[in-house]
Amino acid sequence: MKYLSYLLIFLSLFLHSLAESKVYIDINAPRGRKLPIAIQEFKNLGEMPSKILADDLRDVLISDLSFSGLFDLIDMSAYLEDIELSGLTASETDFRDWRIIGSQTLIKGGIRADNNGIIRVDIRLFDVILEKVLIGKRYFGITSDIRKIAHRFADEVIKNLTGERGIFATRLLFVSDISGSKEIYISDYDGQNIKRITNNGSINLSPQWSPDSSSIIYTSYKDKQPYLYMRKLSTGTEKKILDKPGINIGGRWSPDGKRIAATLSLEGNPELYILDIETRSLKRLTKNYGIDVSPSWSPDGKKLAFVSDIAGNPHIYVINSDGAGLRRLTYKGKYNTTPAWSPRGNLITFAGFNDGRFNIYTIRADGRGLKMLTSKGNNDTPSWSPDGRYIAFSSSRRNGRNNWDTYIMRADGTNQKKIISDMGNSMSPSWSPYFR
Amino acid sequence: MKMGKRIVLATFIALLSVALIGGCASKTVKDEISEKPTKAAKKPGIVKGLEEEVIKDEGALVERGPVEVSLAELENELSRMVEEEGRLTPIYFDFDRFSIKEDAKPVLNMIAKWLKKNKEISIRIQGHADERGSNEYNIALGERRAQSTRNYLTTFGIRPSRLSTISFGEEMPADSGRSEEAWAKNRRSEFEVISR
Repeated sequence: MKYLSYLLIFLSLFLHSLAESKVYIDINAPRGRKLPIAIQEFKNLGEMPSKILADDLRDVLISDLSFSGLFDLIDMSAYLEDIELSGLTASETDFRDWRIIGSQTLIKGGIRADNNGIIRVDIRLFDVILEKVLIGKRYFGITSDIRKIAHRFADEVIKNLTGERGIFATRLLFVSDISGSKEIYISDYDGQNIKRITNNGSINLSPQWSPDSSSIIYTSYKDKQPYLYMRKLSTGTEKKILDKPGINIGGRWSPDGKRIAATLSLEGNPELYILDIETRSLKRLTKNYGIDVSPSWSPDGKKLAFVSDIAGNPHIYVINSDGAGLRRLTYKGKYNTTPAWSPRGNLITFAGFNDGRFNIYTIRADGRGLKMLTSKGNNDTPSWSPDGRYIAFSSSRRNGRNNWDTYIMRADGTNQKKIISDMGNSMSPSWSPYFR
Repeated sequence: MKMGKRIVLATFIALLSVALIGGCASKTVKDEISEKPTKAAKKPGIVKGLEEEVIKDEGALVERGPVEVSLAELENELSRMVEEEGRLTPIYFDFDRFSIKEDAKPVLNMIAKWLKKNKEISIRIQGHADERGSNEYNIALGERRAQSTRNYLTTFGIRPSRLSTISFGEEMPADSGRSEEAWAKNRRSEFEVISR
């Protein structure tokens, strides 16, 4: 009997995986064809009006899916199906109306809001050709959850159609001087829903995520010297984790969450060290007469890319996490800085100075294939999304004072999108890992 | 008033460094020519070709040898600035460099001398950078500027324990402009009197 139930579980898992095995979008195909999608207006399913919520939900979904670059959104003016006469299920949908306008996928949904601000949102993704539901989700929340619901469903869509996790529910840390001092802030990946994290009136820099996204580390001058602090996001509890004599800057969490790489000057000039969080032991990584800063771990935790000026100008180098195997990665340019190793391991992005301006570049981990991704204003501090498909960075391409804004773009440099302005200077974005 | 004095002092330091580096009057004269337009050039529309003007030797702090007196004055001025503002004259660096420039050495010589006389005083050396490049690199660069400034002062026999350092990187510019002129003012070591 017991074995039979195991067998049934196994069979159902097997069948489930078969059912999900159709890949609608090959995410890694260069210049892959975009998938035509239609997103119908969301219906009001309750007695309270929900038009504003419905429009927000649709706008966020469209913004997410178009930023991915994987979809060809069919304009609403082309839609034939009468929203009043049709329903939200497959049986209440006339798929011919959607096939005629060239759509292959369709999103439909409805919102029921009550007078306490509690909402219920039903959303479905259909395969228009096969005339079947691919995803059906019901969300319960409050009105202010509407963006979150849209991001979650957009992630479901990406997962279902590409087989890979979406990043629309991820978040960004960044630094802004809007309050008159540089403080750490957090926002959704699209720059919305901004909340302040630090409030000490000092200088706070280089926020970075723990790999489980529960905590952050950052550099602050709040105790007079630049020390490294760790803060749990849910509780706000904080501890100083590096306060050696000299500078304690640029901390980066290792992918296994057990170590932190940082630049310290306790033995003289600024060198890279690795701190074991549990044992508090400190291991020196670099030994030279130059400046060594801004480490970035490879996804397997075996190597770090960093900036060193040992050759006279700042360039990107790679070193093993045991201190061996030092090699220079960049040769072009006079000033290369802030490297970030992609979560896929194959690329390193950095800011480089050429022809009087800083731009964002990518280079393969073997030092070949240098590509310039930006060309306007100055550009700094690139940070990868956890799927390695997008890069957040700061840019001063707008005219005027306080003109550092936060941007996101696809990893090939297309679709550069300003997501944070009006925050004074917003700088040093750090893209979160996946949540949960 | 304060401002005026500071400008006088800056000019003085500039002259002094020229004197100490160049050491001869001809260089001073040459600099004067390039800066001072002739009377003809001031009037628009009149071009008489190249004009020459003899510059009087009055301001020859350099040759007459009142350097000793001026040093005393400078020391007084430094003491006054320390007492009234808690601040000594900054020194400046080239872009992405932390070596002590020749024109910074006379200033450091003064500070070393002053520190030797006022043994109860400790100073904190702040290293700063201009805004170009990354925040983290600039903190490291400011640290090296502060360190090389301290190392230079210790060669005069000042105890290192009296000379602490901190780097602010690009975070506290002296001039918030975005020009070479502003950046040049921001690549500096500043001196802060922290105890007496």
